[in-house]
Amino acid sequence: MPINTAFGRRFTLSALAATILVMAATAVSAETTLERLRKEGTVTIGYTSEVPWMYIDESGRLTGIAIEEARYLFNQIGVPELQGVDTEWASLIPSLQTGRIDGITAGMAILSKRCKMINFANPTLSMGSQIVVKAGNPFNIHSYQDAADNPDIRVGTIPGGQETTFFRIHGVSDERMTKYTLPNDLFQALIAGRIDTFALTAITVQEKLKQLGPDAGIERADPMEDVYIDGRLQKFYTGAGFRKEDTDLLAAYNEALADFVGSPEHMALVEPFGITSNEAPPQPAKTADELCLEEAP
Amino acid sequence: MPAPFDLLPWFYDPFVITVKIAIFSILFSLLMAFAAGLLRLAPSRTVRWCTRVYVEIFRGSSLLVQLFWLYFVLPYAGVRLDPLSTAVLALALNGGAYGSEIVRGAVLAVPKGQREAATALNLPPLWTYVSVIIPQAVRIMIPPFGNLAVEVLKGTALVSLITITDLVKKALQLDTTTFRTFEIFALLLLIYFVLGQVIIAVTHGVEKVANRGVDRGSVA
Repeated sequence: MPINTAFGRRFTLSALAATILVMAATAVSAETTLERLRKEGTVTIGYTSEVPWMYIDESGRLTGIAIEEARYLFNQIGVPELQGVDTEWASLIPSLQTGRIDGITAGMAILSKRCKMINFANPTLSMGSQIVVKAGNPFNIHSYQDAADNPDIRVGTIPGGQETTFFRIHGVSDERMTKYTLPNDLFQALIAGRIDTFALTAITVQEKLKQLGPDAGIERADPMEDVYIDGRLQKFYTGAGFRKEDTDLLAAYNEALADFVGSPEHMALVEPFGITSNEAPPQPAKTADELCLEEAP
Repeated sequence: MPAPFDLLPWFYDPFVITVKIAIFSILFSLLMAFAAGLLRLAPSRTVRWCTRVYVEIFRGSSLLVQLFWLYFVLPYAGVRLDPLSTAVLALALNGGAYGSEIVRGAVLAVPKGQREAATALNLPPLWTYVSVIIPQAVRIMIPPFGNLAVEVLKGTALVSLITITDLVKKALQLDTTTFRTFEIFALLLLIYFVLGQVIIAVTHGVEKVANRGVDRGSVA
């Protein structure tokens, strides 16, 4: 989104148009999104600031696991430039549907409820979730069930996040959940003692705790039981999301991805962010279509 | 630069964005305020009514919801504004709705005798407004408009929710990567405070200029 270009002109034109309510519908063209991206050489993706998935590093560069994967894959399909729009987690899918971004590369888990709204490329990583607690684990939390069983435990969640669903399924009522917008807020809230526990993907927790150091006074719930729902081990498979109608973009992305996932190039890109062979390639291997069919909780 | 001012360079681009949005929003708020404020005093009942609907909708609902509407809902109707235009449009419509009451109140506050004197001098109604009523009303409007401008500035903090990297969004991003929460939000507070002071200073200046040569005895 050209935020800092020709602001005045763009503004006057569009605001005037809207004010007098003669805004014409967007020009209809036969060009597909993939063709447009290749022509322009730039793709606009949506992300949410979350170390180590996607964030702006000290040099001002947008980076992270999901970003570097996407940058590589888009480059493979002939789109060299990647531009990010920092979007609230819950606004990512609406932003994609309304055409404000061309794709979501935010480490988003492939879930059947999301598949109804957007298409996912095949997963590049798989991982579990991790519960985080105060140092010494004062409430003795080792599973979502533990958190649910004690009504005194205050849980921090991010609406739309899969961990939120896990807490809810295990019986944490809405009143016990404090809702935040950014993963970072959860760490802050736990350190400040506003909540007693929360959960995020294991990689996020691992990297964030590394960054925070032991002085922060929070730690992983250890040991943590695997999460089974309806007898199935719950793992996240993360993949890029595209609009339903952009099937050619999806196909091209999937084709580039097939040789990439688990390759030395892939590992070299994501290892600096703490990813190991435990996460890539996704185990057990599954396609986005298979994951979309799994009835997620 | 010593901490926390080493963080300042990060805030440069977002600062420019916030200031741009604030300036455009304040100017368009004033425009909308004048238009709506005067139209609410129009002789035609239909015009008064339509204006009132605008004012009540935008004054009576949350700015955040208005932003979401313009940004996420209008595209379904085929109207897709870029984020900056959306921000300015929402802030201007919202600020204008509040400001219209300032304009209306100020016009009504001009003593009746002024209007009667203009009639006695055989001034046509439009001329009475332009040369007698409005100049006096504007002086009354300046302090509350200063207030409104500061409100609009603070309203710009919400635009981070429609994907604009303004001061607030930048602060959140920095917080995610550096975790220097205290310093980041202290700086943020300071920057908004300074911007607010600039607006207040400008308002004072305008007030001084507007009151030059006014015989206070007769206005009071």
